[in-house]
Amino acid sequence: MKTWLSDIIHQANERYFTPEEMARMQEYFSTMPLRLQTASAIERADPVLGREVLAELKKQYPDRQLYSRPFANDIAALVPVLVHAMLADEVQFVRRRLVDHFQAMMTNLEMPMTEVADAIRVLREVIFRRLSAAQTSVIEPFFNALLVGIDPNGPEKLAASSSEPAHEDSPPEVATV
Amino acid sequence: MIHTLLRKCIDRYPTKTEISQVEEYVATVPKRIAALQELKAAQDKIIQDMFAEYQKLYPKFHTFRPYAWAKAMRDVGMTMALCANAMFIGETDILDETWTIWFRSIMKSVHMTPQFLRDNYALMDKHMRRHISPEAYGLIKPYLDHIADVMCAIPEPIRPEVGERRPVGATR
Amino acid sequence: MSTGEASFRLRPGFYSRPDFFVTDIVKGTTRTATGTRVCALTNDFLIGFRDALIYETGKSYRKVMKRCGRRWGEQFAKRFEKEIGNYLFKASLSELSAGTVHTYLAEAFNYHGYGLLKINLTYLEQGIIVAELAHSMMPSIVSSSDRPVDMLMAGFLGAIFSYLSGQDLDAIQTACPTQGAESSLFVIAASPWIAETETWLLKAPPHTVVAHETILKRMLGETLPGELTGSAPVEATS
Repeated sequence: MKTWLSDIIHQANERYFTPEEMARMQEYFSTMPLRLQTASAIERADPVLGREVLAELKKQYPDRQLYSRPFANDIAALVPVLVHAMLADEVQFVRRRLVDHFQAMMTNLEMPMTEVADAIRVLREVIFRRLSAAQTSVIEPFFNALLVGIDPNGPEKLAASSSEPAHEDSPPEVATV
Repeated sequence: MIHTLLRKCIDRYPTKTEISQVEEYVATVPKRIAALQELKAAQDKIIQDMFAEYQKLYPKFHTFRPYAWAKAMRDVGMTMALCANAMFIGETDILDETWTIWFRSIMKSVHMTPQFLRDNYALMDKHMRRHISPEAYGLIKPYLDHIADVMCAIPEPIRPEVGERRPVGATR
Repeated sequence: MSTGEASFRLRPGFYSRPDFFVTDIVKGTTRTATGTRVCALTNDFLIGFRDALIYETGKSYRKVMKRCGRRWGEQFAKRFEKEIGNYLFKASLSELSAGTVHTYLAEAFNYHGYGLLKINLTYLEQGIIVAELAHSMMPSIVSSSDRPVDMLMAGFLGAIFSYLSGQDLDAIQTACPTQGAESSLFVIAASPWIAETETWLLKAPPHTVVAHETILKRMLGETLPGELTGSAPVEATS
């Protein structure tokens, strides 16, 4: 699994970590308790997410046929990916597992991206209701990365530019097996 | 610690045990940084004292290949850096994936004996303990022990290339 | 595989999981997220495999290669069902829409290093699927040839689409980078139809490239069955 953290570890190889590398890791490690608390708070909401997302979608978009129970459950099932990306502070996980995949899926199914994006916005609302401001601040950039990726003209564009995780995105791995 | 947690938590949430382990680890990070810096600063002295003893223990080792002791010193320096880094990130998995298993195969292929390697890590341990603070040593020791356990698990070579062992006292 | 009536599903990417390939260096094994063991086949191996087949089977090597691809594809299709159907969606692939299945199939190709797969369903009603595969393995190791060289992938695709459709399908490569095409093109259709097309193609003059469009038009009944035209001859090097 390739992350910015594993990159630092592998690049150090047979030398000591540099002070800059240790500072970067220390800064990230110090945020782990908050990231883990956020994951726990989201986990507590997990069992009801599908149901609540569907209820909210039916309320906000009563005419949209797309929003079924399996669809709402699928939307809720994206959460562990976002949580994992948040724990790793690695936005590339969102881009590769969700954004790239959904873009391909939308093209193949000729589905309106905005309807999917709206459902993810509802999921975000449902989750954020249960989080503190600090917890929201660590997961929000990953929701934004997803929403900007699939709905580039949506309102998250501005937010994403200011809340993007600090590190540079790692180059994509190429599977060669 | 955290690197391993990230590998385990793909598509699932961290367990309570994992969370408390990470929280405990995070609390020790400043001490780990200090220990790494201490070891790095003491490295040359540790190697110098360690090899003064090691060379007496294996007086013929240098006859088996050119620059034998120089290479051994280089390898010990790398081992200390890897050990310190592993201590800092709080995990051994990545150490085995990137280094120990591979390095053990090299030691095996150049006909080192398990005793020669046991002596190596015992001397490292002994001189580390002498040159760094007890707190730093306490943090580093489990990682050095892990490296020693993996590295010493080699069979006796049919034709050892370390020379006669002349004990000068208990080592480990 | 449903062609659209199934409910819309939107699970995360599966092959882009950061732990899709996990190597256990102590055991010396690499496994996928569902536990299937995989190994890397290098260009050297593939060249050796192809050369050995040519040496052992002579002119039949093309059929043998395709048969190998078919067997491989049959196994791959079962694994694909296990990974995407059983594991990811907890459902049969037949319950998923074609677009969903094709998206995951293209990602499977991408992440296994088989190349970039695009599936064109324009002629589906006429019983034909066109697949485009960029950066495929075999064309990348054979510099040039008077005939398409990706029989392995033709057999592979035939087997996969047979599995997905529940019908006896086969594939024929209709464009190949070894003959100047940008990527490999395959026409997938009922096996007897492909067999008849292959027989027809054997009648082409030596060193003649029969264009993908020509083959497709003939299969769609837009040219006379006996008509066979080709572009400028190419040198046979393979």
